[in-house]
Amino acid sequence: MDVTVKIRNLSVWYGQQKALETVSITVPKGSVYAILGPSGCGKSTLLRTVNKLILLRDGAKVEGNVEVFGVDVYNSNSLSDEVLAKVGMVFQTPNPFPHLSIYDNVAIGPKLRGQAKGKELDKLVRWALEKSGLWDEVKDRLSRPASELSGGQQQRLCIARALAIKPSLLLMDEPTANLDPLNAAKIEELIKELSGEITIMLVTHDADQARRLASSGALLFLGKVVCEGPIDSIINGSYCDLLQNLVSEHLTTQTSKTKSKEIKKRG
Amino acid sequence: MKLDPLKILLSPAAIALIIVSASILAVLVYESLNTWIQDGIGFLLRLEWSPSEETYGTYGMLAPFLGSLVTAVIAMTVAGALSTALAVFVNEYAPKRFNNFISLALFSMAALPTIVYGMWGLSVFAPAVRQSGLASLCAMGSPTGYSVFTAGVVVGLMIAPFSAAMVLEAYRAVPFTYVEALHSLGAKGFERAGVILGLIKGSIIASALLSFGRAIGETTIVAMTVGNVINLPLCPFQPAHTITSLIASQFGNAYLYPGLQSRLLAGALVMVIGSSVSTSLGMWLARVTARRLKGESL
Amino acid sequence: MISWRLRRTMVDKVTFAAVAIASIALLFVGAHVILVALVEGLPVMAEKGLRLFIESPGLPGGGIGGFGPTLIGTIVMVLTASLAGAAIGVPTGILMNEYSSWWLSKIAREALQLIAEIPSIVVGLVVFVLVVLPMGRPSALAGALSLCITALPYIAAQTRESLAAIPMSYREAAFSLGLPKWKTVLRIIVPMNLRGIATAVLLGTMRALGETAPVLFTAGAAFHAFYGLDRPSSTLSLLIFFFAQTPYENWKRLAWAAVLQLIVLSMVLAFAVRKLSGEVKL
Repeated sequence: MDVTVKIRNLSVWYGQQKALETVSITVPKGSVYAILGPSGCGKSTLLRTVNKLILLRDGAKVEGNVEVFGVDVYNSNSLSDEVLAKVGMVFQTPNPFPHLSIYDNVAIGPKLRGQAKGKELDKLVRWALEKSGLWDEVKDRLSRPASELSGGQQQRLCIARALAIKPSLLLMDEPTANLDPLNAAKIEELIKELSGEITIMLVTHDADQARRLASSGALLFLGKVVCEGPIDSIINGSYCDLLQNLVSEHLTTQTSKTKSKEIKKRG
Repeated sequence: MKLDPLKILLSPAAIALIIVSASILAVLVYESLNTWIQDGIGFLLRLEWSPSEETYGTYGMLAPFLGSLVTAVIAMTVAGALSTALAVFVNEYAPKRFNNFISLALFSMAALPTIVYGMWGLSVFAPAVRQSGLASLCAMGSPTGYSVFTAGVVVGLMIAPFSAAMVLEAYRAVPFTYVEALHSLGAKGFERAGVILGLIKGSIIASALLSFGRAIGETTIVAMTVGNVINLPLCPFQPAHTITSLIASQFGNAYLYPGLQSRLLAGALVMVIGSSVSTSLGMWLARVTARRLKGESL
Repeated sequence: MISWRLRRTMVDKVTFAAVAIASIALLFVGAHVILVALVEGLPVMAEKGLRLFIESPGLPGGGIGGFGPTLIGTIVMVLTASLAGAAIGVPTGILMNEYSSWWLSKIAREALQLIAEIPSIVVGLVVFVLVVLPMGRPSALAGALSLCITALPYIAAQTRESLAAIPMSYREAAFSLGLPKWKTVLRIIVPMNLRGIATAVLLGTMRALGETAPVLFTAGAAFHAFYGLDRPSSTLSLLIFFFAQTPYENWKRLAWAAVLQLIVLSMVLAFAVRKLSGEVKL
């Protein structure tokens, strides 16, 4: 089995607080790999260790091995840049650069890396927009600012932006969390289409979505991997069932806590 | 409606404040009325300056008017460039542990009275400009080092901490997800800065407008460093006057010269309008940009 | 491809160098301004000791003397300006926050905005026309009035902002006690925010202390004695402005001592403000 990402004994701290504890996962090549778990369990943190975005957070400390395409990205600086150039990312909230045009948003990655110019760049942008199913909707207004698009379109634009750098690995951090069901379905369709060609790591808290899209995955709870394997075994496996119950129980108390916190904040 | 005792208690102070600001405007307009009636905008377009104690002298304020503009533009440029550079340095290149030190340093600089910068300009920067020989670039360059350039730069340095605070705030207010997106695309420091500066362009222009408004009205530093000569500021290393330095040097005795006080107050009114428009525009733009940035992050 | 990468790396390095140099230059100027004042002012302070704060300036070309009368003038004018500024600014700030949609608040806000935008020299001109000319002479009182007007916007705006920053839950708790509004505001909300109001007044004091332009034509230029509230006086900043521009070495040295004194006073006020309420915009 070809492996795209291999993480071994990974621990992450934010200052004194431990966010991930001795996590080990293996992401097979060319599959959709789901990272499941309740909110605040470290899913996003885990995803961000793969392309080192985690280092942007204040006081973040990483320990352990993260191998992407066989390269240890935290211990081989010169190589890791080249490796990470093949990793794209899509975020929870659609975040196209609002002051740039639709075209420039897609072109920015390849432009910065000097991957394409002129006609070639035009072609690449078109390819990425077609891939993300946005081309027909925006082909007549490529020079309009991205902020004019709807939320769902913006998210597909972000996918196009990530695809334009021709990634071999796409990191997706709850890409449908802030979308209506119709747009969410479109994105899911997209992920399915892409899944044969590139490896996708998908963070989600929605077990149904994971079952629909992923072939394997891991369930995280309080910064630890509680089980990993084929997606069915995670969601339906008896061992995981027990944990699932625990998790959902914890989840409900957690959300009620955060809700009451929010109310307090709003005052 | 019942009378609210709190309103009654607080209103006199507010009314006093309103009276103060109304009388400032009233005095400016009333005292300069003569100028506007006799001359309209003409005094601003005339070059000749020949004071007289007996009759109405000619007080053309074109030179100091342009002096104010040039000085303020230089100051705005210096403050804008330095504060933008600082924002990029702090956010894209400098280690995070410098943040506290830099904000403390900026705070201290902002707390220094303008006269302190004036003194520095007078005894450190102006002599440095003189020794640099830059004045030889101008046909009528200043032999003393006091010039439009000197005044503009020192005013710019005085304003820079304020403008830097504003640009830094805007830079930090950019939602983190954009920063992450840029990193995920592999953008380097200058590329990230390019995109983010584009994102907060409005705030940068706003801070420039506020700087301009502040610089136009700055008196102390300018009077100490601009050279105080009525001179068209055709070249930056020439000594000149601004409206404020002219007022500072002439207003005390202006009542001896018929018509001069009215001209100077008319100049002050023009300056108030210029600085008000620039400042209001800047504050409006800053608000709009901040609101848009917040809205777009959702 | 390689050359592209090389170019990017180089542009990045150049950008880094440029912004680093600009930032360091700016901070260096700030340090240099203070350093020069220390180098020039400390010897004078050491030489004169406490007499610096008592004596009046020496004759041109003579001894250094001191800035005693000017210090008295400064304290009198700045304190008067702060107290008057507080008496007008604090109630206006409260009004603008507690009745933000009332018409008087709206006009007050516009008036405040206007004063804040007006160059401070203009305030001096107006007070000159309204007070100095009728009185026939500049005076400490006229100077204090000018400083008060320049400090007002800071005091009122900061008061309003500090009140607006009180968490809604406290505000709700205060109003849930069933007291009439004036009691709630004056007995609970304002006392809860004494720190914010003290900050506002100190900020105004700092402004008044640092300003030169408003007192240029209003306070007079009496450096040799303090003659009373209705008589010409002077402030430290005025002394620096006049003495630094003379050719006399002894007066320049006195001006440097005054610069150092002014820096110390401003810094003390600024850090008191910072201590009182954390991050404050100057």
